[in-house]
Amino acid sequence: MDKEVFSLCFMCSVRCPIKVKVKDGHVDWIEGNPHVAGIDGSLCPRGSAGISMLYDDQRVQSPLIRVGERGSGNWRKASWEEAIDYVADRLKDIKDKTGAHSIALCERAQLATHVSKAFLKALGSPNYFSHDALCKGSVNTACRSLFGYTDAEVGIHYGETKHIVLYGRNIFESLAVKEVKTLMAALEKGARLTYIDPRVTVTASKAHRYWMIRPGTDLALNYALIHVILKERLYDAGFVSKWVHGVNELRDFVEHYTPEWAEKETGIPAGEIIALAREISKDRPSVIFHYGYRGASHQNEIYMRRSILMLNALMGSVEAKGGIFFKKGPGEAGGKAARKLVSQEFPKIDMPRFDKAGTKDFPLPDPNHGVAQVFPYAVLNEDPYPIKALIAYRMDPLMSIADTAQTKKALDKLDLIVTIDINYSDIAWYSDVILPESTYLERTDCIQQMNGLKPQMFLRKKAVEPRYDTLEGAIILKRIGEKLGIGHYFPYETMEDLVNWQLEGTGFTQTDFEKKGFVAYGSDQIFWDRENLPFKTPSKKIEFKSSLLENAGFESFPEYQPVKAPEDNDRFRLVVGRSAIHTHVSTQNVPYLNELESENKLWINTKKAGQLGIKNNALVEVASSCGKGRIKAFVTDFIHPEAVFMLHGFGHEAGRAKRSFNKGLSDALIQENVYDKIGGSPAYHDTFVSVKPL
Amino acid sequence: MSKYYLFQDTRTCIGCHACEIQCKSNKNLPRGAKPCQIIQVGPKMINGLPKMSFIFMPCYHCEDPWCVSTCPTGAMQKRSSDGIVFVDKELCVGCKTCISACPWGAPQWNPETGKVEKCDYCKDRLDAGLKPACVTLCTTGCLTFGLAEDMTQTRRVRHAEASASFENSSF
Amino acid sequence: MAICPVRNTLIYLSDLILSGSLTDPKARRICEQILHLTEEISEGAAGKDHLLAIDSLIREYLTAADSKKNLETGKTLEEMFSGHREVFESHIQTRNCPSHDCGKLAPSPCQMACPAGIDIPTYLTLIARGEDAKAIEVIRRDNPFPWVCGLICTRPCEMMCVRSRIDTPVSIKFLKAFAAERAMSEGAYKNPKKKEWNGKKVCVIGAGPGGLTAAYYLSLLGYGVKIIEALPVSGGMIMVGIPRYRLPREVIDREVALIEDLGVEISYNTRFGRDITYEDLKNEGVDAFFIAIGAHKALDLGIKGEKIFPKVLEAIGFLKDVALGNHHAPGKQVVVIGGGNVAIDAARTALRLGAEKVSIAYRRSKNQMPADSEEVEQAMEEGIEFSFLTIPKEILGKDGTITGLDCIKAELIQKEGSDRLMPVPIPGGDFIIEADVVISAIGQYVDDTGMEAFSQMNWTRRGTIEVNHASMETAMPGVFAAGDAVSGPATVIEAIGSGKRAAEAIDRYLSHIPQPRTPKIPVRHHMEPPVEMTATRKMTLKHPTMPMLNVDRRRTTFQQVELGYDEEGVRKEAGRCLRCDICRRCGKCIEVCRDKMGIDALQFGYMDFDHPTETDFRATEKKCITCGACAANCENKAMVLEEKDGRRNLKLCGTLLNSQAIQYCEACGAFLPSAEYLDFVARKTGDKAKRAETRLLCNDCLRLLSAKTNVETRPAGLK
Repeated sequence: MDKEVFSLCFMCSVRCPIKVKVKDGHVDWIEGNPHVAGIDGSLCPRGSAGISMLYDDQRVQSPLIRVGERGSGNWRKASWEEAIDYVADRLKDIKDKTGAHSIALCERAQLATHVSKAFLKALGSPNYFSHDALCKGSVNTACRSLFGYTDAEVGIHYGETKHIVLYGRNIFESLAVKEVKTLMAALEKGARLTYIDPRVTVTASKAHRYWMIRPGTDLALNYALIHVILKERLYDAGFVSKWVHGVNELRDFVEHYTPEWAEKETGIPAGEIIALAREISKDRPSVIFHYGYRGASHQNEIYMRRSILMLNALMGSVEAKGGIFFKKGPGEAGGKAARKLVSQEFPKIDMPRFDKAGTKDFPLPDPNHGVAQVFPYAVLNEDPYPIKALIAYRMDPLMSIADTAQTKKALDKLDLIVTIDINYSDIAWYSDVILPESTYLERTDCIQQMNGLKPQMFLRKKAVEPRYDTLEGAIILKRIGEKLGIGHYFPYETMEDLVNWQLEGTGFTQTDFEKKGFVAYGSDQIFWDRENLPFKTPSKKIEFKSSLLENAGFESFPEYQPVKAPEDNDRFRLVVGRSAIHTHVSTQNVPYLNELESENKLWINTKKAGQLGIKNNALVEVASSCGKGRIKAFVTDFIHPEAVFMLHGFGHEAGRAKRSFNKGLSDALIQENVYDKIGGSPAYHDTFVSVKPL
Repeated sequence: MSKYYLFQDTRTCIGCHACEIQCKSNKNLPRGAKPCQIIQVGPKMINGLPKMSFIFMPCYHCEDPWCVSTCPTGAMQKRSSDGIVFVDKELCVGCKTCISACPWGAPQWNPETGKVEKCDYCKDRLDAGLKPACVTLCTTGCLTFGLAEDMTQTRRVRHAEASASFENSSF
Repeated sequence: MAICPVRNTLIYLSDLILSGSLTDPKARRICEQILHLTEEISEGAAGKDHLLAIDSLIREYLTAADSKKNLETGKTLEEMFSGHREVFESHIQTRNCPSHDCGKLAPSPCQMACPAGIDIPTYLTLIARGEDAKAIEVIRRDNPFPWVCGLICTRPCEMMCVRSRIDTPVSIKFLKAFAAERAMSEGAYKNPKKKEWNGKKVCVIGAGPGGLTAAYYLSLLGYGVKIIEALPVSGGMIMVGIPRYRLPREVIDREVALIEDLGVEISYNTRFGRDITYEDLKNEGVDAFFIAIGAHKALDLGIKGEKIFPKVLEAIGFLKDVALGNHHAPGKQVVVIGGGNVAIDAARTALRLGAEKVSIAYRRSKNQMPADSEEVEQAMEEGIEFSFLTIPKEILGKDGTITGLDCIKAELIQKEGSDRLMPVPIPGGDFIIEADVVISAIGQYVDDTGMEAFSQMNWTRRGTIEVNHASMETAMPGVFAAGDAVSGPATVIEAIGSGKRAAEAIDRYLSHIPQPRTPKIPVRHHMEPPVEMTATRKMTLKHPTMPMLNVDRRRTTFQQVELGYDEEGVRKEAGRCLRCDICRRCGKCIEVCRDKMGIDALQFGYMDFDHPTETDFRATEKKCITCGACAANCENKAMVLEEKDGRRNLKLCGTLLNSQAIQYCEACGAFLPSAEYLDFVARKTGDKAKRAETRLLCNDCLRLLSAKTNVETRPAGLK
């Protein structure tokens, strides 16, 4: 009965290729796919904990229907038939009474995203939204404003870089195996690493240059860098003159943003800023100013992301080896992409989105992903219209969207909350129905189209049959769809059928994946000719002066607004981040990961802690305008005195996830729901908190 | 020493603890027992830069292991063919004397079985021609495993590089 | 194969999972879940929903089964749980495994020996702690007469007491009486809450221990109970058979009064079949009958002269007359024939009534007497003469007056095919015991007068009522019987045990639940934490001697002979209990310590049933290094190693065997083993253990230290 299966990990959203060994129907061993360069058998801590997640009895074991109050944790087991009928009946009711648009679906994007999108389209609701905006909404907008491509279409060529600058992009902790290994190899070959963060992370400890920047002032730093680069003519003149639109406007704009000015704002000595500009320009174009994710996350984030991308353009590192590049699809290699369900014809939807993304009220954020943090406002204010139902698929709005109390209030207004997840997430716990999904080791999934320098397709292949009474998400949605009379949009019975349907016309079959777990459209890296770069902006150039922004009524170069310091001695800017052990809010209850890291702590500067009488490891109370909670303090020299830091994703409320229940504190509970009104990202780092010892 | 050597390149280690999980997952261990462990030292400011070190702590498979001599039941043994120190679970009665005897904290307590667990270089994998779990799966590939005589070369090269470099990014 | 189906199921499931044959993850998961639930059943941690959960898992298994093999496995599981449903249920309800296969649920030997199955270790522990009322509550779950039994029980439990392998058995019997008296005097001896009346009525015939016991449990279960009693008093044999110097009437009255408090109605001076008939009772709405009429008719001696003289008395009638108030001496010279408790009771009663000389004639020797040895000793102290190996031949006398008993001397000879030594007359060994009264006490049988109404009931050849011993059902539906009427003359505790069984059976009968196939096993209600004490105290606590009424008073009055232990004596005595409900005496601890560790610190000779050697809990501390291997290998957590108040303590069922000071990690303060333990380790590693680090460090700090050393000793040149 022993076998080996190539598949894709799903302990986080990176989806690393893996090889799974199955013994007697039991997953015995997982390793990184040895055939994939840059993976070579490696597995990160979360991927390594996959077996302990699979065999954890604290995940959802069968469909459940709520019997007590919402959030009380009283459930009754239901058969799939019953649970699907229940959900479909309620959805039908809501659709009949208030229209399909009052049904929303939120999701952490994944391989079956085209199924969820097709589900909503067929239903006639525009209200699909994903976690993307929460992660990188403004990065997406910034990329489109400069290149006409979304962030998902831009890649980073770590392997041959000579200098990489990371703005809080904690690449060695918030990690993806291939990225880490490739960058590490580049560093071994002599590449340099500059790391900018108010907090010392593992990445900081590997850097050649580390700046403990004053939190929130990355933009000031970048304007000063641009100032030096333009003033000293350190940029790639040929590239800039050929491909950049608005460099003169930029030059005028940064005129008064000198390194000395920036030193006052950022706390980084002017001389060091100049030194970086001079040093890095020597290595251009093989340099990277990393544009996302996380790091400084403020209400003007769009301009911060734009400034980083401009630095890349100035260095000529766009579509350059060791710089950033545009991802190539199958078409570039003469192939064809796998089909998606969304490519079908759907009835036209007239209603606007709940978040108004793409309309004149909120023109720039990408309507394909929506703007998740607007959801609570839309529900509470019934603006633009009442919303009655939410299907939460693998995304937890309670812990991901800032201000949990407000999100809960909004959820309380809904007539139906359905969660599709493998875990007892907090949203599952607060739902009316939980539809448990099979884990990544127990399901075949939709085709992963991997665009990049070498376009490829990967397949997540079922390694073992489900251990509990669970189904694949794409099957769950199809079954609900059937009951709602939209079954014909789901032309498959099994996941194998769906994959076959997707592969039709690509020239590949499922068998082609068996040998190495993936298929490649070609064998060589594809770089575009730098003389003929197909930018998708109106000017066909990289738009420093952005028509996207200006047509929507926003400036391309607004004046820099000084960043407020905390007003009182006990107040701090709350900064959040990730560790290598956990994925966002979803792995805190996985046995092995929980053992290594079961709660988060509040990092606080030693001097500040001393003044406030806070001892290391002692409980403190953290409070903001919207919530407060208790957490243990971690007193350290290695954080900026204006900031306190905590890991995201702790403080779970779901009682059946016993290991993570009530351990640590949820950042969403105290973060205010404020956001970048242009780019679309939440401003997770714009909440001030007071901290006091208990 | 066993005839093997497990080399950790601290320069490329990022302290992600994947090795600990890989080891436990392969041995199917409960909460508590960590046959290998990453110990973080630092951060500490060195020449104006914050530095951390992540030290990989498995069992060193000593030449003359105190855990073996202290074990009253003969459960703790040294494999004559290659010097791997391992525990025979059938013989272990859970007296923990090996745990007290080891100066490196290598033997670990398994609260579920009431017996001792330890790093045995995944000898069953070695016997099947494979590398230990931690080495096979290490996120950055900072762990390498081989015969002691080959591994000293790796270490020498590393040392030479480190000595010659005027600016090094890690310990 | 184990005997216990629960254990067998566990073995089956673990083997199945380990075999790798469950290749369908869902099937495997379901088996793991069933295994987990079954483990809880076998450990006494299961609740009432466990079997329902298992049933639904098996259904899920059968539904999901996709192969023939899986289907067979599912069917096997289904059979395991349905075929032995009662055993699983009794494991859950009683937290008991009669076969001892489920180690954590094995009842103690004393409990197994008790015909009423009282949870003895639990109540002894409560008594040791001074919680008398709680102890009484525990006892009364199985026996509504703790005080009565505390004075007169024949105590089969003490025969099995493991403590006797160390010194003497725990004086289980009397501790009950003390607790009952104390609880009663404090007003804390109370009835449990009874259920609402369920509309059903049971008639109990006979207010003896069996009948009263059944009445007690039936009325707690919500039945209306009416007792028919021929005598003017309740208690049956304990009232009219046992003399007052052993069991004061007040004791019986108080405990019977509690039963009456539950609403049990007793009709005195009412003989069934004469004063009230089966039909009368049926018309009153009686749904079931329970016959507990005892064995009140004496056997004839079958010798010459027996029927001639009015002063040939039957012991049982004689004792009854005395109990009912006739305190006249039967005569001057009394000879009692027989060797059981009744004979002793009759003799000692005759003495107290004023007989000048009382002797007992018994066919065998002293050792073979069925009477309690204490009773015999006490009788001898009081001046009763014993004539052993004496076979009565003829009662002599004239004009209706007895002059003596003609006897033959006998010798004991083992006859072929019999274990028992038989008395055989020695030719020419005739002699005469002078007497004016002869009391026969050679046994009783059941008086079946009036029982004709139960026409379908069967009788044995011995004249007892035939029943199914698991359920006490007679052949006549709705009619149950127990006590001496079923067993022939036996003990009070047996009557109580069978009365309780009958009550449960009647409840099942009237609730239309099938009767059990095997007799119910003792019920362990919960596991009381053991009393903590030092090894020295556990070893030196000695069985107290029973203070006795002085012999002069004993010869002349009916005052209670055994005066009872004082409170201190009771608490100490209860503390001698070894808690065999926790420690199964498997000997694994000794084996690990001696054979595996080579330390041999545990001197528990009593654990070896076949070859008991000396036991001394105090010896442990001489060699023990508190390594805890014994505790780690103790399945039942009887042996525990705890770290408390700076000490590492080794305890066996609460007895502190050794205590050593904890060492602390000099870096982080974490607990380390004792110095003795570390010495042991150091000795083993020999001169190799010359550590560079002289500080005492814990495992984690050692790792941290070596990591730091590692960093510091790295080659230079690193920034």
